[in-house]
Amino acid sequence: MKSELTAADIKDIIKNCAAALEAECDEINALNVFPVPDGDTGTNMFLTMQSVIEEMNGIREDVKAYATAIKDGSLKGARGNSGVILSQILRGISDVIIEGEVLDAGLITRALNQGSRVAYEAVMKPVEGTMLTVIKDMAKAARKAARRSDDIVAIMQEVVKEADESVVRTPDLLDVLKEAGVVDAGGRGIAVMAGSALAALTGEKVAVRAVSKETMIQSFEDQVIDLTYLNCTEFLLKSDTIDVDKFKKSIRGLGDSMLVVGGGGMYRTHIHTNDPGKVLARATQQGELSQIKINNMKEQSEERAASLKEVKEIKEIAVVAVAAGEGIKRILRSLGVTGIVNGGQTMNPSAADIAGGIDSSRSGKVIVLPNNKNIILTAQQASDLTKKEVSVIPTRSIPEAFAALLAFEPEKSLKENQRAMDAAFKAVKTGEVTRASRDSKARIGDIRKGDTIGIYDSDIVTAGKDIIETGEALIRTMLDKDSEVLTILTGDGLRPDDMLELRAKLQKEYPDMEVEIHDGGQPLYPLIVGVE
Amino acid sequence: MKVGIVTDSTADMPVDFYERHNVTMVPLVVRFGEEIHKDWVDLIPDEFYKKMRSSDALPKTSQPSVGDFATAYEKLAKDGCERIISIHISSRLSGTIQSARAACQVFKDIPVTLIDSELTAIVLGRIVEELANARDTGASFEEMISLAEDCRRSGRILFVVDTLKYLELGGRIGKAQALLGSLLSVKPILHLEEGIVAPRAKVKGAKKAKRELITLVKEEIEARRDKKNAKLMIAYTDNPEMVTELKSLIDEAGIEYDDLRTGQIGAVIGTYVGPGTYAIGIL
Repeated sequence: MKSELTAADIKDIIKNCAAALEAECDEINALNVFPVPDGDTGTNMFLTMQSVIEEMNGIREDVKAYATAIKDGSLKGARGNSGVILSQILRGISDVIIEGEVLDAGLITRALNQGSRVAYEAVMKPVEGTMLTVIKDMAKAARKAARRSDDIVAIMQEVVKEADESVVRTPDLLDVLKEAGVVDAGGRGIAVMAGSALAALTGEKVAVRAVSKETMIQSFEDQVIDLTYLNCTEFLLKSDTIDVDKFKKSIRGLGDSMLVVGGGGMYRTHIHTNDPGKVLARATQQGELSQIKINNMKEQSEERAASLKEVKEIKEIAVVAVAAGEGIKRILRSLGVTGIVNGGQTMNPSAADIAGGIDSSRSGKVIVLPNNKNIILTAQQASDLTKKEVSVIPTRSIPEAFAALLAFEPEKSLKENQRAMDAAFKAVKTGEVTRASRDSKARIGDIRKGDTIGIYDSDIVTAGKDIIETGEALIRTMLDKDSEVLTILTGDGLRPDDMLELRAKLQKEYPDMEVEIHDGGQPLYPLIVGVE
Repeated sequence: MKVGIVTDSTADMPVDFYERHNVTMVPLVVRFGEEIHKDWVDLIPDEFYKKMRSSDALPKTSQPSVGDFATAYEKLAKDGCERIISIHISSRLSGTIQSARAACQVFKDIPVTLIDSELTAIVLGRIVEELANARDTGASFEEMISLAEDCRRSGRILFVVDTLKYLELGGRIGKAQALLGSLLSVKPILHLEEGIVAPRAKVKGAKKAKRELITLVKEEIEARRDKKNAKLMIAYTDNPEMVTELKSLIDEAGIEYDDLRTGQIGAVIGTYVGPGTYAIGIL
């Protein structure tokens, strides 16, 4: 039983707090996503406490002198938002200690409450789910515990317990935390301090619960993974004659995570299984069942996963694009495309394929980029097959899709996007180099099967035997004095490195033009060229 | 009534500007590993960009401490000021004003009015200059406050970054936004919207980015009731040649303005936007 704190206790508490923050610094930094995700909450809180220690060094061992040093030191050294708020908490606590008489349970409770109050006042727009909430909950827990006990250690135990729980609740209060799959960094820092303050009083080392960003994210993801056994089945089995081992053996094969615990005729049974009926049937052979509970874990985990994603799903528009080639798909995704339907010139997807792409996107509003003139109609058909609100931007090529996507703003309306994207893709010229699949006559002369041909605006504008030479001729046809950016996508056997010579040549001739070459990986078209 | 004006170093003005205008500047801190510098005070932009190029680790920044603000306010009170206007970088970009606010909890000698400019960089510097000019030509405290509010509403800053990498690493732009167009050499044109960095347009090619920036500036000015008296600012990082280039583009576009200032983006803002950035401010 500890009914009063001494100056030496205060010194131990502060030292312990600083040491714990230093030890947990990286972990707390990694949690930091709010208000600015710059990953320095742990560092800032630690530096703030270090400044307190410096201020306490060399002054006489006295409760009030220490309280003043805590207040001044934290204020002077407060770094970052979290440090500033921490300094305000400490200021509230210190003020009560300075004005008080004996540092007993009552005073400590009042100090924590004042710390919480001052911190809330200091923040312009207090946000819940942050360290403010944690200190508020701690103060509340202290008040409650102080009604039952005068023992400071007992009160602090309640405070620490509540601090931990409050931290775990922060993602429920603050969406950015939930989206990032973390608990609040500053709140965690405060809980770490509470734990180490208690440890200083009991002389024990408190094992701080590890909640790193990685483990949090994992625990959220864990809930979404495919489950081998769907139903969590629990019941109470009443039997005086049961052979527990035999019963266990009889249901073990039906699932996993099995537990049969108890004794004296009462056994609580828990198992994850796909066949709860069989489990229950075997149990009834042993005795009487009660409190039967069967939960579909997949549903639960999906609900949880859905509630995690909810915030993002509602407003933003999704984009589905038709494309072939890994490089092209990667670039499309980097421009905001969320769903890709495989397809292109020789493998036109069906309307059902595109509708499937639309339906599997998370948003209720979807923009479709067909990226081929033969797929535009199919895409429009697909929009009739789905209940979602769909806008088809009639892009005929990948460079047009790129240009359209630059104008895409997911938070604006479908209509606004349609207008902006339509205008944007029309400003791009597209050319392609491929091999003639048969003999034919074109405006430029006879084409033999296997010739390399350059197509611009649905017209064969150049033909030859060498892909890069044909590409060069095609590009020259497309360029004019207003051309500023040339985008080349290499595919079907070509690599960006094969284009370096041509690039150098073009850049010499058109010094103001920017040339970008990407590995598109598209089949059948060794070169796709965009000019804008 | 003597009014003290306090701002922070992200207003991106050189030290002598504050001396000339009798304004107190509280510097933020830039750290390269163990090396600690006070923004603008002992680290001028050119040195910063040189360091940034030669250093492997990215610099880190910290807001001023509560004590820094308390000291600044105390000094003004001692010098005979009766009120203080403390105007700062957007609270959604930095905790600077949070430190200032905490300082106000302990400093009670004279009243301090805190203003979240929702802006930063050269346009904040220009607002501070306007405030100092108003004070020195006899404006009352209330007039200064309403001027500051007007400036906050009308102030704009549009900027083009070479890469979104620095904004992303510094946590000043969402990851999804940072990824947009990272594989194509897309130049995003950004602005501060309600105090945070938001994309305004995305274009391909450096030349188009400049033109688009000028178009957006023109639109901004033409949307104003007072189309003639805009104050323009051009800010650059390690690319002083942008000043002449943007000036001639502004003239070519027939944009009318009252005055045009130029300046360099300092170390703290430079940490988040990176080399190659340029900006136009409008007030």
